[in-house]
Amino acid sequence: MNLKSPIRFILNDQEVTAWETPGRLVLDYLRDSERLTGTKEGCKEGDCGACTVLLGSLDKGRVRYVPMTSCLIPMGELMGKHLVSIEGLNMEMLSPVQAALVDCGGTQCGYCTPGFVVSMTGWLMDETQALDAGGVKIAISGNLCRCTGYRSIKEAGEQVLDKLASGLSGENRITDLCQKEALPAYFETIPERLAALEHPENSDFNIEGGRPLVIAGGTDIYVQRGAEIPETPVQLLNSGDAVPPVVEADGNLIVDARMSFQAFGDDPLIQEAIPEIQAYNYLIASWPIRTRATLGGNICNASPIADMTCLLLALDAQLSVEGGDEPRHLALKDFFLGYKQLAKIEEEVIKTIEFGKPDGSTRIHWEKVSKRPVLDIATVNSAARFEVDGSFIKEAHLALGGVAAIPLYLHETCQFLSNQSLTAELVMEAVAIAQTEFQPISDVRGSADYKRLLARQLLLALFLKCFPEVISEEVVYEAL
Amino acid sequence: MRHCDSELHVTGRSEYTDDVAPPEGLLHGAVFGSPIAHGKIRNLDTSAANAIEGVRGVFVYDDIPGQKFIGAVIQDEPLFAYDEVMYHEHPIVLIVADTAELARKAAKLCKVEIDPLPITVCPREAYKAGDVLQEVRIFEKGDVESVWDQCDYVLEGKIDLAGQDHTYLETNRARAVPKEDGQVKVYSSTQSPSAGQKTIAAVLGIPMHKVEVDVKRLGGGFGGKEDQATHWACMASLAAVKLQRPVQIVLNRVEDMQMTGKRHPYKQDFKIGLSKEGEILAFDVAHYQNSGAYMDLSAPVLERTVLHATNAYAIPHVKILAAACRTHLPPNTAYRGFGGPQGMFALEAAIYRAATEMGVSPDWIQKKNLIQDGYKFHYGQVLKDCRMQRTWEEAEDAFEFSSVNDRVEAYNQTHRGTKKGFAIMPVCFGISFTKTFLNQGSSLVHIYTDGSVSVSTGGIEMGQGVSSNMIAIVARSFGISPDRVRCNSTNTSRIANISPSAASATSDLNGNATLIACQEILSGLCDVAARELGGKPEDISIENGIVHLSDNLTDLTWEQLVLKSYFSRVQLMAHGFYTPPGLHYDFTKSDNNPFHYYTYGTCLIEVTVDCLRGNYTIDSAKIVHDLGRGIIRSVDLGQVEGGLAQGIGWVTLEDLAYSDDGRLLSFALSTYKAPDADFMPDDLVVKFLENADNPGGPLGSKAVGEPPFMYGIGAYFAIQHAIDAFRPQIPDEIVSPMTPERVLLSLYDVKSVKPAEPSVAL
Repeated sequence: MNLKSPIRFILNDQEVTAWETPGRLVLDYLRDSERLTGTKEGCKEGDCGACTVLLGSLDKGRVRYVPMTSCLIPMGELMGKHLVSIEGLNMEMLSPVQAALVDCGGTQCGYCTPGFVVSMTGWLMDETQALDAGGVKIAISGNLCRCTGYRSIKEAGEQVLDKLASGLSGENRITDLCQKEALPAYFETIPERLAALEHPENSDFNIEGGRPLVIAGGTDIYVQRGAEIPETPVQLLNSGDAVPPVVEADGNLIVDARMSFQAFGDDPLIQEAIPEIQAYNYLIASWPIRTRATLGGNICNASPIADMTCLLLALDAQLSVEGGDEPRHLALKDFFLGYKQLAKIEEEVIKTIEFGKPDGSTRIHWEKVSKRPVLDIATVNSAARFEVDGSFIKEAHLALGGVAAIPLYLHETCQFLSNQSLTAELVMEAVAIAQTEFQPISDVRGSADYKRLLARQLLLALFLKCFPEVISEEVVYEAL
Repeated sequence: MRHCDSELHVTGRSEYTDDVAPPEGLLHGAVFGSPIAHGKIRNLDTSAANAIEGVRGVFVYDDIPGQKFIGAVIQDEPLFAYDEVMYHEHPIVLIVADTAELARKAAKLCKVEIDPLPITVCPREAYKAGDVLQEVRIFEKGDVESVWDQCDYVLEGKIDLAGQDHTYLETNRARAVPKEDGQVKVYSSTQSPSAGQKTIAAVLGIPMHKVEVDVKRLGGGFGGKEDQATHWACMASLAAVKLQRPVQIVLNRVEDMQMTGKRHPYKQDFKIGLSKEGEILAFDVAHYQNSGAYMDLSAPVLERTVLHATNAYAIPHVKILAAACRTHLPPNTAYRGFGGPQGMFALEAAIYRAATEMGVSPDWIQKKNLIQDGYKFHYGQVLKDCRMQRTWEEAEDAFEFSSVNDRVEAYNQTHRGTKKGFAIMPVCFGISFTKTFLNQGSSLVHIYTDGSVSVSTGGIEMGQGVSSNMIAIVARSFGISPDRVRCNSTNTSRIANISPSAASATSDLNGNATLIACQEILSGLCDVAARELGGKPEDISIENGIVHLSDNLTDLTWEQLVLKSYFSRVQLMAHGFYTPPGLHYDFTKSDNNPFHYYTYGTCLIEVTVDCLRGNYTIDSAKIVHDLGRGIIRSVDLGQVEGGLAQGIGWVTLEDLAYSDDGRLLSFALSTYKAPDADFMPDDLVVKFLENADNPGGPLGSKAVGEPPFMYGIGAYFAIQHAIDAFRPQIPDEIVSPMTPERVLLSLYDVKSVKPAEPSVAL
């Protein structure tokens, strides 16, 4: 079966048509087919950032770039895009990012370095990113270095800020960066060239020979089945047009299931609804993963510790599902039947996720503990949404991850809490009820005892955060 | 001056083993490993793998033409398992195919039937069963048994100390290219090119001069490529010579984590005795090293554990038991610190335990017992030019030790849900290979007729900056700009019998050799200059590329001098050889002098523990480090900071979880967590001792690679300190790493989690 299709895109400063299987990884293509070896393979699962590239998409006449780990990007997604590897950032002189890393001693063995350069450059190019010390950390949140201890790399980031930040106040950072010789001049020509890029005739990927494998962000499926995907027919949900922003209708927020974590966190409606979403996002995944991972993919992957799913469960999200006999709606909390078992047939795909728009009487919080605070998978996560009238709980939705075979909605605890006046005693009682709703197992992320204990703590953390006026730290520690 | 490869690195232009353009016809290897950790192979079937189109060769034990067993210390490890598998993923078959994907696909089709045998993963159990790799050794100074009665405090404890994956960003890899007349040229990501050369030659049954190993750079090594890079280089060479095609093996992350050894986990017992004044009178420790399935470097690692068992403390009575215990894990191997960290951890744990009992801060005990000049270690070496107290006092002063305790206590008084803790970690680390014969360095310096210079040494560039140091030494020796000097790849055809780049000694040994080579050439150049300028050779100097006579500028440039020397038939290349004087070590004797000198330092680490969630932040790490006179500041600083990061990672996040049947559960970066930028503190301060020239090091420098690793140990006890502020305790066993799981389970009694009675649940 020949799965190869022509894929047309711009690679650094050159229009190319690659005949590749759409499921092949961009990392392998860059290194093996294009011999662009500045992009390194470190882990092939998005956990080290040594293969970070930038992917630029045309958006209303401009090109927006996001960092991604090329070990998780299928070739098919490059169609009509601008792929930038470290080689595409090189100029005759070192860029300010490159020069700062040299100057601060931010490179030792050098293997991770191109990934850092790409991430830090991508950060400067993105108008939504804050240009401050916190921004530096977000920029490099997906990059591991085993040599330096990172101080020198952080210093390099700050040096870049000192040099460039004041000049990047304009509307279009890419133009500013080109003018300051922080980006090669060809970047200014890319919007026009992308617009002019003709799509190859047979740009639908060959999926004859059975149902294709559906890939959204691919951040988990490539880790699980990476070896076989290049030879498998695939349906890429995010290879086409840009995903639309969140919309509001009838008091609900409606999210396209293909939306990336990053876009979700950046969406103004979501920021209004969940004010701490960006802080959660920082803990949920690194920047180059957030730009790939999708809400629908997170749900369908059905990992018991899925961070975004935990939050959506607590938001009491409803799904619209298509691809079966007819489109249908169901509650997210009814979607998980057992370990990786979903209440849908294979052909069905989640189209949208919606939840009631929070208002002044809504309290939402999400918690996570993982071994490493950032760039790690949760051991246990928790989330809650309360509709309150003062300290009276009209409605409670709580979710826990990492303690059961599925992302867990705490039905009984929610029922117990609803229509109750909140007191410290009630909280302790609710937490005890919650403990009857799950049975954690021991695995590489933690022992069953630990997860049970941590679940209690993270439920308490939700109450402490949502009801500081009712339940204080003192009371909790006295009760424990 | 900066790291000489910096500009290549930041542009992605630096070439690692498999970045070099592939030679025509390059084939790719993949390894099939054992599905279980221990058993007898009954049957091996590779026919399905062999039948795949594009598979070019299948290699097993019987295909090895020469020596079938390898190993740096003793040759006890078969290159391929043939009779008995000794660990999970123990290599059995090498598949070579047109692409790496194909080779891996074929490897999955190999079938092996194995009769399972019992599996041991705990060194204590192996010890009890008598399964040790060498005779169990006991080292004694004084007589611990005679002093317990005189101690005001005697405390005992047990430790379960974790291993650590190297997590070099570049996994193990090698490319072998067959050459005429049965020769093979091997590009290997190795810290030991000569060990590779020697082993490849032995495996192939050919003389060493037919094997050339070339190493440009490594994407990190940290000890993981000292002995264990050899396997893959041997396999690639075997296939390349047999197939007469170039063959490359690049392990992926999972393969690398599963198939290669780690830092040795240890189990330890300690007993410490102190006077009420805080003086440590006796220390008795037993080290049960989890050596893995074969010897690898376990014996020398254990030796360094013994040598560093008292770290920076003067203790009159010491007893150390050292057992290398065989387990069914991949052979554990060298890792930055080389057993030293394990030796030091046990004593720090003992001091912490004693401090808890005595109701004092550990640093009160630490400070009282620091070593000084004239102290004689348990292995016989007498301290000279000791800077232990100096680094402590400078750190005490600069980082205000006197107020840390008050500050932390005040915080803990006023905060219920978060607690702070701190620890101070003094380090005294001996510099030299303890295998005395390895303390030799070689350098080859070439000046070309255009005045450009190249230097080749036995040092491997793995990020630590040895190439930059060599360039700096040549440039300063000749009085020319570093831009005129290039450091070549490390190549066994240019330098013979290279000691591994290890023991922090690479820059010392090869740098001193480079100085010698430069001096030899310089003496000829000075003669020529003196003749040319009408002075005496001893009055000639070169600065900034210009020849000076009696410190006065002349018109003669470096380039002119070189050319004149060439035409005068004066030698423009030289080989330098260096070995440090006075070293001897024989573990059966008590008057040893294993170390050329010691490196010292003191580190303060502060942490905050979130007592609700059990996770923690490392707030700051502040270090005073003795570097001698540093060669390149940014390179040295990078070594200190990077070593610290790995040390902190070892005792906190980096959790090598093994199942009882010997499988590594955390075999990918999704489950094995090394520090990231967020985890490492922003408040990281490193001060170097000033006016601290080291007569033993090139240009007055000191070795810097390993010692800073051990500062990280402080993070463990700082977290424990914070835990104790929330819930004072004496753990049954001191267990590392201090993961958030361990913290939370220390903060609360698991039994306190009470599910509601069924009747309460609705």
